[in-house]
Amino acid sequence: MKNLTSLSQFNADRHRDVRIMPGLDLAWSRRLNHAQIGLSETGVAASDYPLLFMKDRESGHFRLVALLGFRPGANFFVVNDQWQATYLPVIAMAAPFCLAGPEKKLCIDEASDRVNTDAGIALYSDEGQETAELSRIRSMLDFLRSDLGAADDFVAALVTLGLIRPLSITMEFSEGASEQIEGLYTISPPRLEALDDAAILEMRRLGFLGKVHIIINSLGQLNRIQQLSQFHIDRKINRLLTEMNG
Amino acid sequence: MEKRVEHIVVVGGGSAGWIAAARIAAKNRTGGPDNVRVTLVESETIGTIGVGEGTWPTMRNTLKKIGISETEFIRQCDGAFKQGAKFVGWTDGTPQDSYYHPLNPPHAATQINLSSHWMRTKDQVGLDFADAVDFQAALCDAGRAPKTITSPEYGGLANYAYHLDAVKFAKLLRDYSVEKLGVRHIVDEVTSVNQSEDGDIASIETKLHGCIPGDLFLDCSGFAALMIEGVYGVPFIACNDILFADYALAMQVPYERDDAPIATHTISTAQDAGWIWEIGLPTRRGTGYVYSSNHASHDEAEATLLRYLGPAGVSGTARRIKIRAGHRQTFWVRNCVAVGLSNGFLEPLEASALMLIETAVDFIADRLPENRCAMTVLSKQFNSAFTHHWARIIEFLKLHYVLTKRDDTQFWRDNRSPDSIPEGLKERLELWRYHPPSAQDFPYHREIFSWPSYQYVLHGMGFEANYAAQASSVQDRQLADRCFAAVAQSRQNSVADMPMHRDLLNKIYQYGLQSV
Repeated sequence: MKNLTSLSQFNADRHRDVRIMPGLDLAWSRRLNHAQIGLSETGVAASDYPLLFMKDRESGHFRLVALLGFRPGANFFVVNDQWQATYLPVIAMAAPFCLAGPEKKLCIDEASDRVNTDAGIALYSDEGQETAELSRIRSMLDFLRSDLGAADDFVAALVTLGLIRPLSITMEFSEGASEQIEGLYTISPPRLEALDDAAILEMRRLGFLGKVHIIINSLGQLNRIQQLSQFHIDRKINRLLTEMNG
Repeated sequence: MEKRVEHIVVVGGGSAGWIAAARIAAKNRTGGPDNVRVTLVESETIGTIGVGEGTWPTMRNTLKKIGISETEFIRQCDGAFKQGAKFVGWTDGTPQDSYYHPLNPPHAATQINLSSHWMRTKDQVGLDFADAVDFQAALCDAGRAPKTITSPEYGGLANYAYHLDAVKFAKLLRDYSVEKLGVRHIVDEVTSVNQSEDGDIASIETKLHGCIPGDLFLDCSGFAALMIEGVYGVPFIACNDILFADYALAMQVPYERDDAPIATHTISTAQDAGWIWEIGLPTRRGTGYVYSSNHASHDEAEATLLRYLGPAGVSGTARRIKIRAGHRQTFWVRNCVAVGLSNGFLEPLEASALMLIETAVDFIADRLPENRCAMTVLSKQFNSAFTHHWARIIEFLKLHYVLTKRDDTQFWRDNRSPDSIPEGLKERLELWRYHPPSAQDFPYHREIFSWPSYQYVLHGMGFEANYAAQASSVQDRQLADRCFAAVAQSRQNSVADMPMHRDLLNKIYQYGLQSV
């Protein structure tokens, strides 16, 4: 997702003179085909995006994500240099800041268009004090860290209950051409139905049950990405086929 | 009404006994009042042979059916991924002599037979058959795993089997069978076997637990063959006139470094009087010299193994195992089935031991005889299938010896002597000089070694054949060329995308694999 060579751990000495341009890191956002989200984002994110699970490349563990496009390296929601949505994932708002490494430390993408030394909002005052902007960023990412952790706990519970299943999506073009999207997972409604009462109660107690339904229902937003595909792929998707295995 | 088959008694607790008990219990675990029950009786004193450490890809299905997660299996059995075998020194014994028999079939094998096309182009292209028709040999060469940490359990980019610690494997199966599948486990000695008037086995007598009656008895007692031989006296058909190896000298040695690469294939290296296996687990290298004592003394064999191992062999202790090559004349008599070594045993050249256990257990577990009457019919089918399987496996193992051009020792010269070659193999070899191996050569619908295996060995060992006269349309040639191009691409991609074998195993210890 990030160019790792330009990513460095945030550090008062190294980044004392950094200024942040307001707005989105569009150059980075437009290449984002999914965004990992925290548990509290579930409801709002579902108003724009299909919420799915993808495997982390390092650990193979499932992560809760908002799907942004059907092709690698393309955010279908970015049209005419604007992210066309009512809700932007925290991870996108935070860029060029992000959490990286096993300890999810605060890092900054030094190559980002938002990173500057003359224009923009300073992170440190001339006296070397943290500015309000930096503490806003810190608290946003501290919140994100714990929210991603909450999402991981939620996902772990779903895995234990065997609810996560592969979702295969096929884009059908004209003249019989088609393309399959791999690596996406969702919650299986039949498996949810088959859970015993105790498991359902436990999920409710943990505050997970509502999220489960939001995620299942968010699949309808795949059609939104299909609509937006006209701005990003040259062929028209005639039909979107989704199939869940179990 | 015919009496239902309800109680299965397994005698013997090695890999055979526990695979059988676990599969039958998992398949037939219905929870009803007339539930099938499984009891396994093993003696503490006998212990497992513990050399069957290579599996076939079938093991993935077996474990899945039992209900064991691949992550648990890898972690608890020191499991590693096996993508085939590399045969070193089998063709002419020169330093560059080696070929792969990967587990992937040739590219597009259901659409096109690439043998003749490979021969047509091999002089220009310069690739071995295995490399030309599939990417898996390249993965093995690079020490790359067949899957990544994001692959689901039991799935991957390339076909694969396992290398495992057989003692730990039996223990995992035992714990799972007892704790999760309700198998009754009795540690005791079988003192005698009681037959009913009609000749069926009625019960076994044990030293401490008395009489254990049952409806179906599985003889998993290993070489002892307590019931199939002890009770029914079924003769043993030796095949040492075809396969000469009669001993194995096994030795486990440590890696030089903890992070040394782990081979993702079995390495079989030809020697003066046999061959040495090498199986890489994360924790150790398992090796063994399979040899013919008519062609080398035990001392010579030990010297050969130590020479192969070099400094690594200094610390190890070798264990000698007798190989009695052959199988029973029949395998299922009345209500007694021989599974495992009691059924038969061959040198582990193609890792057939565990696979044959699975084949037998699939047959028994998936159609557990409803009653005594059904058992008679099923036993006939079982016996005919196993008679066929053994003949074919013996032929396939012999194929490795027949195709050699080595004449540096008596062992290799004797192996090519025509009276040691089964007639069926002779016939097919004659045919394969003009026609490549194909599905039609093997009409039996559940063939153990299918025609691609023969392709890999024949072409790997430079079998002289001429398929130039084979009808080959322009379309066929174009399809073949597209296949070769696709393989070239996937050779590159797979080596770039797949992790190093040890790195993947370490990740599985750390994170586990997801079930989907």
